[in-house]
Amino acid sequence: MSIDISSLVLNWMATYGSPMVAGLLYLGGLGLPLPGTLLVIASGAFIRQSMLDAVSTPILGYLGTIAGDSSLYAIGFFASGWIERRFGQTAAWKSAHALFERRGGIAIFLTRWLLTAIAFPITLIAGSSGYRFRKFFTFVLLGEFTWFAIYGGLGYAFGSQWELISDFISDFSGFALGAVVFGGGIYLLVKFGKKPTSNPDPIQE
Amino acid sequence: MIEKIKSISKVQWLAVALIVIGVAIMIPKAMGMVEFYKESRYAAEYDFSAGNLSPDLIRPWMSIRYIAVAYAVPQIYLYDAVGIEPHPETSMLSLNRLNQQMELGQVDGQPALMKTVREAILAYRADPVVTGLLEQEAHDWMTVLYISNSTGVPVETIFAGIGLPVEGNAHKPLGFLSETTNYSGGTKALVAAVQKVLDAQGVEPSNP
Repeated sequence: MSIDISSLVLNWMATYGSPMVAGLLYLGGLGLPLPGTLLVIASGAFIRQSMLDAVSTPILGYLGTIAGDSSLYAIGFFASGWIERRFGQTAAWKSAHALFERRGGIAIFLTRWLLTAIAFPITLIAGSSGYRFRKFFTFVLLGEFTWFAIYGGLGYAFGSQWELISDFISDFSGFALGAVVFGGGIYLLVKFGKKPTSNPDPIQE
Repeated sequence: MIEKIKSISKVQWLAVALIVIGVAIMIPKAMGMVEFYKESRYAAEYDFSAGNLSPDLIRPWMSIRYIAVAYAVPQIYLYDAVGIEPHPETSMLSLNRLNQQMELGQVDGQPALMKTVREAILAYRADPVVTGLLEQEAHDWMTVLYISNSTGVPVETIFAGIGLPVEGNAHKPLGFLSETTNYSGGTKALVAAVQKVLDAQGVEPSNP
């Protein structure tokens, strides 16, 4: 019998309960390739089916996720010295740093629950770019709460049909990521499309 | 034409690449979401709450638990049929996932496990077997017919014990049944009442 990672973590969480959910979500927050969204949906469904505790599971899971995000931020923060030495003097790094300080909040919030595929680099950038921890933590609290409320709620609502909603959320999240990439392309085309000769090429800056 | 292409700047090429990649990501995901819409209406479309379902209506996303309740076949019986050790944790995994774990491959373009489960349902209907409840007690996601088939306590006895009519209610999960009948004390009270009937009938916990 072959076991894929998703099935393995589902079996663990059903067997060991809410502490395992918290542990797995902590590791997911740290950036390990675990199916975090699947876990949250399944947690909601398993609570509905009386397989997980309805009080301790969301509380411990939420705390585990936030602890994972904060730990990854700390890794980025303490590695910032090396990153700063390597890239800190470049215009691109300074520009990205300034941009993240202005718009980082929305990026942190959205990557907690909608664009989860890029949560790992965004958290590392937040830590390494000196983004204030208090702001980071606030957006993490809000984003992860949204993640638990929406996905856990859907899992709870769909009960034993949770694998159906899990596929949908995977598609929805992928679609949203595609839309962001598409929107980025449109933005660049509108901004730089009309004056290719007069405007210096920003890539070469 | 070549001159025009040559005049396109790097940032414009990047924009075009992002648009193409974005569309390439969005199209299959959008198709997946349309498929979800169809599947989410599946139970309502085929009126699962009416009971007596055709085994042909089984889908890959359905779990053993979902099938057991929808078809009123004891979970332990289904587990025996598919050759998996009965555990509550595996009862929530979809047939597709179980099929992958067991490396059973495909039959007629569908997970082979679906065929096994269909055959098990037909065999059970031809020769019902009392196995006991896998969870050892009544839960809000179980229907009265499922509990009856699993424990051997007649549907009429259970409904008489909980004070509700049999007609149109046997296929409703207890949580839903308590809502539709405004059961006094809600779902918890209804589940407790069903459990009381089972206890009074001397239903022994199963030993899977």
